[in-house]
Amino acid sequence: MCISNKIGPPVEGDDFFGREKEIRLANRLLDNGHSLLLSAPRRIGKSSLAKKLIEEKRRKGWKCVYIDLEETITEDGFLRLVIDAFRKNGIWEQVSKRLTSVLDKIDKVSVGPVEFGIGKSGEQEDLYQGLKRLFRHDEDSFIVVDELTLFLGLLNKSEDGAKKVAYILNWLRSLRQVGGTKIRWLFCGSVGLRNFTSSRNLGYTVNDLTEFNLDELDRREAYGLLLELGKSEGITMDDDIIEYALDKLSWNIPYFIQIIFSKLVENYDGTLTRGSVDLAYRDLCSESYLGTWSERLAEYQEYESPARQILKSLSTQPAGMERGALLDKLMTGRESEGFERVDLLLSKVLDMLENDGYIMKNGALRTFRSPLLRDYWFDRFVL
Amino acid sequence: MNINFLTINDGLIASFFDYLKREDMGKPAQPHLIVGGSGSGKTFLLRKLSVMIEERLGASLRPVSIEGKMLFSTDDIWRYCASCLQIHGGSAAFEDILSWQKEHSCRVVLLVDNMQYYFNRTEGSEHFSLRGKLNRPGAPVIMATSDKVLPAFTDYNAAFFDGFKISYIRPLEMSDVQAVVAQGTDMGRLEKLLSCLPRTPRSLLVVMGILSVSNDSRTDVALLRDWISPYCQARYDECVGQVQKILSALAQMEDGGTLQDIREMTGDDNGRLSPYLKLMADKGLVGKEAKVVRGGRYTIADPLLKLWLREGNL
Ligand SMILES: Nc1ncnc2c1ncn2[C@@H]1O[C@H](COP(=O)(O)OP(=O)(O)O)[C@@H](O)[C@H]1O
Ligand SMILES: [Mg+2]
Repeated sequence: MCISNKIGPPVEGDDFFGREKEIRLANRLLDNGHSLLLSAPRRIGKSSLAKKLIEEKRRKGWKCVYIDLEETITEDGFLRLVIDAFRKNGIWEQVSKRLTSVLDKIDKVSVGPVEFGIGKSGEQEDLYQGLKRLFRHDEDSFIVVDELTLFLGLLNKSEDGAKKVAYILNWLRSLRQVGGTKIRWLFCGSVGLRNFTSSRNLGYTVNDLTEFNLDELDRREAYGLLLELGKSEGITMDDDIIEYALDKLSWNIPYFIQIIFSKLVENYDGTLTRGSVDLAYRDLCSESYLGTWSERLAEYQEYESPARQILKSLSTQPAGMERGALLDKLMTGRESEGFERVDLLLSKVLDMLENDGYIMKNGALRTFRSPLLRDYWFDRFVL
Repeated sequence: MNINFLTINDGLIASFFDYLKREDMGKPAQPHLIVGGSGSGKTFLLRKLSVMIEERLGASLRPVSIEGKMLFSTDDIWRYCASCLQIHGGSAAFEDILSWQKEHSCRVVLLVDNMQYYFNRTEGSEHFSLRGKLNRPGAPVIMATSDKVLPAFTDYNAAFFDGFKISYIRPLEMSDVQAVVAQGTDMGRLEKLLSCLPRTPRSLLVVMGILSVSNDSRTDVALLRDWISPYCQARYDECVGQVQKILSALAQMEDGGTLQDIREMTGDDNGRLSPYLKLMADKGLVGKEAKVVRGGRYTIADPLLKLWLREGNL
């Protein structure tokens, strides 16, 4: 088997390409006992990388678990996923007598809905402490928790949500704090866990985690991915075409490479030229649904107009703009007394645009998250 | 004419089939979404695909067809699928399906028609739960249809944001039609009728039905109006009086009209018109050309409704 063109779902096995530097770094950190936090925009390849790391560690004989929290929004559901995952993967001790009663209760989960009876805080405490005692800390283990912030955000909105969130974060922390533990964790999310926790005075629950960054592929790997994809479809991609396509995308995350490749295949008639790349790219930038990004701004109400101003400016600057430059744009033609208000407004709007996936922060620079959206915006609102 | 010979969606079917043939059993599958309006042949496409899978890939893939109108939750998908596989029992339908797959060394292909119903009815968290399960290695493959690209596929915070590979059904062209109609068909009349209808296989069926019983162009149009009457009447009747009034006024004008035209025709002032026109635009009843142009023209968006309202004016 070889690589296949995938757009959307996390990739595994032969479909995973590159990320050598990141894998090496992650392995080094994990081997040195670090637990990691990976926050990055959606579709950048977090889940794929996490699964790849599991594959590697499993080969080294580590016990590995992947827990995807997007599947639930309740505390019960969280426990069910956790218990299910750990039981299957041998991270827990042989189930001791003490806990068979707990697990018996849980076993019924598969037969019918079950209330763990949490909420009565005594029992809740017992359950979590009981589960905690099941972990084996003397064996090399690697636990990935995907979409943690998504789950916590939703749980937070439920009844007593803030308390539950705090409890779970503290519980997870206490698991990492066991002396001499050989369990390493990786938490993934598209929304920053640090912002989420610090705004709730829970920053201390994650301050032991090591930040792990994920960005575009380096040029060599981006090149290799396109080349391999070509091979899998029996399409020869010469040097010039690949370089041209990568330049065109400018931000070479695997998702965009996969999507432009799928368009190239769709239009393929036996030859590939720069023209075919232009055509594929233009097709992607003119997909009618990109219009929804503009329509959706209506929901911003009084923030719509500054949001549009910001996006318009950013669409002319593929390399991105600093906050100060954006502030200048918003201040243009206004009295200087309004400065503080505009400064606040800018922060608010930048936050909204980032949360909704229009833009992202890259060091000190703000850029469009998607080069396709950027060029769509430019064609539509600047040209 | 044999509508089965319409080759309009064959390219798409072939590409889906090719994908299925090559998909690795153990990897998370590529979700596919087929977008096309009512009558564009989505159901037909799924059926054909289902038969092809059964006949040619049946040893390793098992098609399960599900109608989106029956889905009110994510669990409904798994429950319904389990019952199609004749799995009886537990409430953990998804796990049961995975066991079934293992036991039969066979991967399920969910062919979900009209999935817009599911997406419009259910909460975002339900969609995340669906995505989480579909992303498990070896989980069922999904190929779904929808009449539109929904916010559920394009909102950054939606589960399926950039999550489907979307294919669009292209409109029917005259060359497609020529390939299937019987010799001696009056192409002029056919084209005239087709121009009032959405460019879909279903429209072609309707038009062929009319041509087979009518002898001249006048009767053609009268019959078409007759055919579409129940649909148009239902659409019209569900509008409030003021909206009906505006529709009737617009129907009098060949190329639609400006706010001023409508004011003159109805005798109502802007206050009685503007809010309703906005409502009508939001509901897709009227279209308005370029917002930026002051005094843009309003037109009835649905050509059938326009035809029906213009009765007696043709
Ligand atoms: N290493 C990789 N090799 C090939 N394609 C990848 C890789 N990482 C990500 N992708 C592409 O990006 C898409 C999304 O990846 P995913 O891991 O789900 O991102 P995230 O979890 O950050 O949202 C995949 O469907 C695939 O198209
Ligand atoms: Mg992910």
